[in-house]
Amino acid sequence: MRISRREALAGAAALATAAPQLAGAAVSPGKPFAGQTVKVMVVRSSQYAAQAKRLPAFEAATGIKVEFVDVPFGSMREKLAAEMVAGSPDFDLATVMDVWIPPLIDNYFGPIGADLKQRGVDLGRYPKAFLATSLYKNDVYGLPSRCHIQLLFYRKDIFGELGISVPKTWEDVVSAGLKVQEKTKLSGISIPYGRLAGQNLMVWYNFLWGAGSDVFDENMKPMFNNAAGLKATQDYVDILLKYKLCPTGATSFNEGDATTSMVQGNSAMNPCWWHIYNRFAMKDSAVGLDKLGFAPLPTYAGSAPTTYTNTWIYGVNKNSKVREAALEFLTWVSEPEIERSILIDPAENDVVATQWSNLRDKEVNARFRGMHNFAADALESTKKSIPNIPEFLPAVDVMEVAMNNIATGQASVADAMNGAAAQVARIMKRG
Amino acid sequence: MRRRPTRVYVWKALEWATLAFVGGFTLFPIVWMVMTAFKPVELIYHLNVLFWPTLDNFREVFSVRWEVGAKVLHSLVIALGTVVIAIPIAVCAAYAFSRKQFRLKRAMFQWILLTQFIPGVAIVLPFYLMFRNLGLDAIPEETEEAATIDGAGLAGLLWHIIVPMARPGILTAAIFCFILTWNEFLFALILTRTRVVPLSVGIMSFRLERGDLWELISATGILIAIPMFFLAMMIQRHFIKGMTAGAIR
Amino acid sequence: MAGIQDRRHVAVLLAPAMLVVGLTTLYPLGFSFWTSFHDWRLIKSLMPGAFIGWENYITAFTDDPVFWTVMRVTARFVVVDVVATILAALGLALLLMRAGFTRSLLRTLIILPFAVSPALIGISWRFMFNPEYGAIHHTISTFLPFMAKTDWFASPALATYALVSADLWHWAPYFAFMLMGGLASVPAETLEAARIDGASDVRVFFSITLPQMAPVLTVAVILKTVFALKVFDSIVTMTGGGPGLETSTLAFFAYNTGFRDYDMGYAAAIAYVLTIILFALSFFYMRFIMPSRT
Repeated sequence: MRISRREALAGAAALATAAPQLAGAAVSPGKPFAGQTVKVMVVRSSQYAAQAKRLPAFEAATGIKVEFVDVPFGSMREKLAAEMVAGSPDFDLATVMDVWIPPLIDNYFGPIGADLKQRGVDLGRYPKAFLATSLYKNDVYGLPSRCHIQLLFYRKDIFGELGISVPKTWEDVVSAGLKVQEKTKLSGISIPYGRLAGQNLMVWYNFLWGAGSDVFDENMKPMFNNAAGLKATQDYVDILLKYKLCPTGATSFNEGDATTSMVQGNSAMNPCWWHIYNRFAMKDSAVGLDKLGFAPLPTYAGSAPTTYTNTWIYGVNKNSKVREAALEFLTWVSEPEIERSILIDPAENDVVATQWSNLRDKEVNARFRGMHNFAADALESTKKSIPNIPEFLPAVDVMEVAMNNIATGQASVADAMNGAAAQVARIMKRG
Repeated sequence: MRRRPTRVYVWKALEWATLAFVGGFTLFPIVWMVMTAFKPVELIYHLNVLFWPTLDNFREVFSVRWEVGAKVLHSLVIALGTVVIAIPIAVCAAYAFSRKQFRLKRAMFQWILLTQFIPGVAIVLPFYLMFRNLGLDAIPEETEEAATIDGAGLAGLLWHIIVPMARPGILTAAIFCFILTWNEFLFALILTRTRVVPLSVGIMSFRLERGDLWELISATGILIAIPMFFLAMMIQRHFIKGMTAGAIR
Repeated sequence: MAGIQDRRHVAVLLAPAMLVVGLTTLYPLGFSFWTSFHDWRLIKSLMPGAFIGWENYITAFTDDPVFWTVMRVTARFVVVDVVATILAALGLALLLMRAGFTRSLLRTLIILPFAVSPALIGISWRFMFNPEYGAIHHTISTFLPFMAKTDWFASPALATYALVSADLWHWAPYFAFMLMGGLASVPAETLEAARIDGASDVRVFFSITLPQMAPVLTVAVILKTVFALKVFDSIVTMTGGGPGLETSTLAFFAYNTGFRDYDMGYAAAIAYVLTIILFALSFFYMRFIMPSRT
């Protein structure tokens, strides 16, 4: 990923403003790794572009040259498989999404728990839900890098006009959606029900948890098709099929398409990751930030709010030839001040914060209208997250197909979910 | 025998309507994607037919964020490289199949043709072998004999006589090969590193976590397709002949 | 100049080609074959696992409902695709056979779709079929208003048609030219004689032209079937195999199993099932064109 000189200078300036003493803080004294090059595979996103702009500062402090190579989200899975099978030392660090991590443990990523301790990295600075996907086999295999929580985004202006209060339960969502469709030309809510990387399950997990069910039980047997689970699934698809609150095309929307519908002014609500905030700030958005409202994700009446978390970690390639330098970079880039400098940089609109200090930071919350406090609240009360097992990946594939079949009317909730549970059980059994 | 005028007119009208439909069906997607490439980003999700065209999207894809220029280069290198390697090999083999008799000839020819049916593989040899009718068989045997009597060795024979006379066929095959390689997606996806990425895979970078950047996809799409259009135009006459000749006898 | 000199020439001429073919096809084919007999799941280990004999194949045919869905989907896609494309190609061939400026222009124009890569066609189609901002969706809705609220990619039938339309757009011209050659080889005198005898155009077509075209048509159908079985790029970019599994053909399923679910052994077995089918088809193809060559 190449950054223009202008961007690099701006990044350095922003960093200097936010954390003037940072450059020296987290790095080993005396530039012991000067001259080495560290290559990092990152998923293409504005957050890593922002980090890339700050790299020159790191280089100046340590003499280590860092090269970001960005891979598009759509190709990441294949790329990782190829790198892993080849045992390649090409990349020293890589950002990987939670569900893709388990197969990489010890096959591509090596443990770094001892190193982090030695470098004085305090793991308590991360919310448990974010840190969970870095922990395997009683050791630490990476650090949270890009973490997302879910929020309900809605059209503040329309809700104001129609006198709709912010939905707190899924029933509220249905009545809000119906009112919107009655009085305006917009669709009530935009949710992806199409197939891509399990995206049609992200909001559904919250329905499951709110109803008292889960994907697996304590013995790692699928339980999402128990009575509570089936009810949760029915409620989830009723929004689309019974109340018809979604735009045409929602049945094959992926997450990006669903958000586009709201960004282009065609839907009034979109439950999605906090990072879509960025999209409303962009030039091609038909809905400006002033019209945007957000709230914690709704839940069932009487249940505590939950959020599914989507986390990416920075892992270290066990075949890396410059491991110490890579760790040096990892320590530096995960310093809270680096994250903070991106959050308060007026040139960036990236909302990702992975650490408590930044989530509760006054300036950050002022800039993003309290979003991070919402996030912190949700993280404190969320007890559940995805299971960290390698079989989760094919299980997600099975579940998303089932969900899509229900949404397109090809199968009933019971048939699709029971079939999926049977398939998942088989996957788990193959061991 | 006089035909009733109305029937003739109805047929004619239907014919013209169909021709127009064919033209429209063929061109519509291309025209729409070209338009999208030149649309300002605010209008991408709208169906405007009239707008002020802008070069912003092209500027953006060539910028350091996406480096499409580099990818064009990679595509070129890969495609040209393939042609440079594959065509000479194919010419030699085609000559052997066309002119010589040898054991296992039929079996080998079948095997080469068979490889074309393997999923996921696009090599030029079988195509060239199908096209060989165009050039080699048309070369009179006498010319060859004359050359051999004059003392030209095998290499000389190939280079000085066969190649020039088979040039249209070779050129067509070369261009066909170029097009196939340029458009190759699966192998490029799996085999290339992240730096050296050809355009066909590069276009996937516009599919972000948060959605697809259609305006950049279409701009890059135009860049991918334009060279192909020119090449296709160049070979269209030979292409047509090749298709009709190579299919049946 | 036959004899030893000749044989040496042949060896030299063929060696590079055989080498390339061997490396790029024999080796990968062999390796895939070997893989399909092993349990190799990347979520478990980087190295190929235990030898399990025919288990992958047996599982596919007896224990995996998804496999049979995929076979059904593949059969349906191939039939629709081949029928639609060959019919369109035939229509195009008849239409564009004659001389004239417009026809000549159209003959040139229809080469353009062939030059566009299927991956790109898939992406563009997905963009143009989107219910909110898709140009094709809106054009169709204008002529057929009841389609305005339809999501093409949510219905198995419509998603299949969308895919077929993309494949047809790309391949019909190619086959049209092939069929034009066939049409051209119908002896003109026979046609003249029939016309003089008073036969209508339609009669002439069905009782003379079509039978004469039988060989070309057969070749075209076989070839198109092969291409249809190999369709992959556009499925990845347009429908992602959906809705559900309804556009997951064998080719796509094999890729998904290997590179998304990381089950390399099983994927290899699936890929081989596809390869066997293709090889069988290719034998028919060669039977048809080989007799005329020596």
